[in-house]
Amino acid sequence: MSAVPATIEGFSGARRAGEIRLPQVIGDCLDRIGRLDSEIGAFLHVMDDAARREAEALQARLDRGEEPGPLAGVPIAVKDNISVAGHPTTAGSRILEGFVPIYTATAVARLRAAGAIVIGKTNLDEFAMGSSNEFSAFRPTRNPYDPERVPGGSSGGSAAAVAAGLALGALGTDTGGSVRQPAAFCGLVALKPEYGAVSRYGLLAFGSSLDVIGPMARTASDCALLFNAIAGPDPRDATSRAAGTPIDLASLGGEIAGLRLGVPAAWLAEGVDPEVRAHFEQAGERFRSLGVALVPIELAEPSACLATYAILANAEASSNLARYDGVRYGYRAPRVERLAELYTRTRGGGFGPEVKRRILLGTFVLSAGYYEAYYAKASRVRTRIRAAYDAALTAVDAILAPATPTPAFRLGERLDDPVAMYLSDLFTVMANLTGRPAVAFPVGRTRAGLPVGAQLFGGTGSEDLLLKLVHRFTGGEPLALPERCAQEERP
Amino acid sequence: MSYEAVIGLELHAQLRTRSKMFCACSTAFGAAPNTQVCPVCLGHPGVLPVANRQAVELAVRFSCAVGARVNPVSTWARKNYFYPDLPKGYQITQYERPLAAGGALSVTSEGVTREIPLVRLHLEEDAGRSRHPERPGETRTLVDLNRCGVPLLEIVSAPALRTPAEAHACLAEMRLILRYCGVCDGDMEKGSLRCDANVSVRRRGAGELGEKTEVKNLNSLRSVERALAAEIARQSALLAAGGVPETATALWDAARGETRVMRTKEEAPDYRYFPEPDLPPLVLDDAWIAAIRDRLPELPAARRERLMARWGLRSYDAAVLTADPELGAYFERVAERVGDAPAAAGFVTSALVGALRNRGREIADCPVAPEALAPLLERITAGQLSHTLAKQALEAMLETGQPAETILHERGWEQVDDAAAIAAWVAAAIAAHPAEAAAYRAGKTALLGLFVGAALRLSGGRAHPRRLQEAVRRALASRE
Amino acid sequence: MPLSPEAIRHLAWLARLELRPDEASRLQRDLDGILEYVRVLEGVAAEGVAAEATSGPATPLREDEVTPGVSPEAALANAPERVGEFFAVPPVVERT
Repeated sequence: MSAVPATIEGFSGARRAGEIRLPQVIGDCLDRIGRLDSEIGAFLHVMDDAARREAEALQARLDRGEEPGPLAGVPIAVKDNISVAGHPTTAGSRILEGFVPIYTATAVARLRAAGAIVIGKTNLDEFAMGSSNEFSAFRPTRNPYDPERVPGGSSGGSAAAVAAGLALGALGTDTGGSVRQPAAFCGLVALKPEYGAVSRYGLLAFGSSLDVIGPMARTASDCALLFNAIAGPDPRDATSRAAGTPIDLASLGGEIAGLRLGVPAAWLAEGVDPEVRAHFEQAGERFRSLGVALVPIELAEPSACLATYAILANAEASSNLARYDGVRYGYRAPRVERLAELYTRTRGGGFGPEVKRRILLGTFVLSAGYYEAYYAKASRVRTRIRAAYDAALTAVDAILAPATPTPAFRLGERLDDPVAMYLSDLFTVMANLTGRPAVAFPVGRTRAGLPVGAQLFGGTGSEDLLLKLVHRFTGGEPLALPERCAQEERP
Repeated sequence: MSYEAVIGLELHAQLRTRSKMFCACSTAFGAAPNTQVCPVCLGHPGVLPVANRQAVELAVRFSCAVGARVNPVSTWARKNYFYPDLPKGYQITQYERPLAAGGALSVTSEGVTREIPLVRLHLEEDAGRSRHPERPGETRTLVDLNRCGVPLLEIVSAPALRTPAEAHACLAEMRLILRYCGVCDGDMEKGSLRCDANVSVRRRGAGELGEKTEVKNLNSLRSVERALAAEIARQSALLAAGGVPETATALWDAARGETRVMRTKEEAPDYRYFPEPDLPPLVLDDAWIAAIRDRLPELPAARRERLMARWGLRSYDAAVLTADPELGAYFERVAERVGDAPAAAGFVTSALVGALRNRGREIADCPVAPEALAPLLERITAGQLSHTLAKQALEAMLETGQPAETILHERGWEQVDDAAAIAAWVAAAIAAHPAEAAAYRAGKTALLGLFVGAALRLSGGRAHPRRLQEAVRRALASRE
Repeated sequence: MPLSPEAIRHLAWLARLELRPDEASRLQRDLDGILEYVRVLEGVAAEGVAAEATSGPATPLREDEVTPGVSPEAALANAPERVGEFFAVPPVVERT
């Protein structure tokens, strides 16, 4: 078993030093996937041939003295709700089984322009609707730290791939917490960039005003490298924003003493697992020891945030998923004679139970007679949540909060109670409602060895500040790989 | 018991842009199926809309032309429904805050001119086309998405029209303004302009509006008028029989000449409109709107006025020349070179148009320049050329491309006013019809036309008609 | 207020989702639970607050230029059914 560097930064350093050759390293990566992924289930589609060919081509360019980009040769996993031309994109759903996109998402094109190699498409809750990856139509994904437990969702496959060392980084998507919650369950650093910072062109939409593509990796520096490669305005996405300056990696090691972190004590009042609470408090202590002040603040009630989110996200989703109708692509129910049946049987047969739940909820809150009380009301509450958030950030530089109420729960534990499943997003949805950046990072492990994460939220354009806080907190060290996935690591 | 109709029109005009509303595919008409498509207008997973500046400009231009108030901020919305030629399962349109509101146009029908207010104008995207099975053996509806995403301007009038004829005139005027502004080519047969009509009927003098029927599938000005007449008749009959028309949507069946109710209010779809999250609000600069307003071309109403004022035309001719901007432009170039503009108007609108039509041509491809007509028209005015010969000369000009003078000279068609020549033809005509001459002199004066016609034929059509007639009278009266 | 079976049927029709009877009753129960949870918003005051656009300050506008799209083959590549260069569906009787 050969060594694969543990981080993107390490990989790039080794590559520049000529210590690794890409075809070998990519081959090793694919071997690892072959050995470990049948149990973990991180990938829906491994892009074996394409990755090998790209590795050969990139190595040839490197050998000619070209510099193909800062991520040259880095194996990256991409969540399967992000379009990659010529390869299956299923969104974890039977309704797109066999669908092969005819165009590639801007974020993936930018990764490739930086030299990265897409190693495969990762498993997810169907259409990104879920918090455990159990709603994938194809198979669940298992947490690399404990195969009886979920990796989180909906970017559970991306999280598991990175946590198990099957890829050095991954793209996930975050609508209500879907990069941050799995990152917390799997001991990763994951960034939900500001809404609009990364093009959504090619992201199969769930909640259009909430969806963001976010990098998931083992360190803050790696997240910064991925973010720099994918961020920036896109003429194909009218909601994408002007670029800030790329994050300067050297600045991540800068001084944080004197910064102020707000802590919403009310959020911790009840419903938080004791070990999560304990690790969170220790994290606060560590920040204090680095010279950061912790200040109590008040934020909107998490339950109000979750309710607002449930209405708005699912309303948008009910509309976004209308295109899956069996007419132009994807699954079509067999032996239909009438148009109405084409729709109802295709969608009834192609969508899973969670998706149907959300489509019906979304349809309800937009329907005649209910729009005012539900959708319009939630839209107005969202404005208030954003105003309260921006106001809180005038007194502090960032906000420190738990990422999830509990560590990774067991497979099957929450399948019968949708509300219980939604509650795992309690602390994450606020960042999607406000659109502001947020990052999840590991703060420790439970006695049983499960990762525990925390979150930092910031104001507009604060991705670099948040990653700096994480970098200083972790000392730049990734969480150790799970023992069962352990390999010889290069520094 | 007499009834009155209340009519409103809803138009969808395809905007004359090169590319679609939300993607860069071509909008050209007549392409092979599914050759002007891309992932965006195909509604593929993960695509996003980006709005076309020119579509917005054209919509603002028309809004200014009708005096509507352009909203500096307007918003986009999704209208959700399922149909095979609507790939996303929703149409991007404008709902709560449309591009413009208000405005009006002046409509003349059956001698009455009224101001018809408009309610709103907004931008949206067109759907594709579904071809339903028609011939035996066809079992599938076929979908072509070329048209999907073409920019549309929806124009809604107030329910202020009172008769089918007035609705026809209103539609014609809106179409004309759209064409004058270069916003839409107004071709209802090709579908670049579509019209739905809303009509309700109530007892004359009743305060409230009745329930309205929305009539769809109107693809010509004539269908609009006929369909409205049919629907008004249907609703009136229902009311007279003690029934109450319900809110409904109906299709016009041109072959049968009747409207067929498709759907009642209970079955009306719930479109679940909500703000389009993929597009920020449309924010327009006041200076930009003002510049568009300043660049407006001369509009039809103003042109009609000007043609009448400047050239002394009758309102009928002014209307005809305005209705066809190219014809109007042609006319003005002729009028600049002749003394009698109203006569020129008559000649252009009947003789010229007729001759072109016989050759399957339009004014746009008239091979005779406006200047070249001036010699003909001047001779008519001076009494040197009969109208009949002028028309023949025009035909010859169209055939041969030769100038008027050459043709008149070669064919000897200058009108003859020479008294001696006329006297000779008159004498010959009378000599050829001695019995009729005697009858005339005996009192049958109605026979005058026979001699005039005969003399005119002898002259080869060249004799000045009035002089000829006077000469015939004198000759017959003189008993020679 | 709990949703009735007719309400679920109506929503399922609006969303064009065919539901088995056991699915329908399960979804009814699930939706009732979620709607009960979101009642927390009744206690949140929001009168006089405008719903702000989240998508950005202003619609960016694109120049009116044509770029070639995809070929009919690519457009139809994923089609479940095609007739020549058209997408094919069971016959439509009338627009709903």
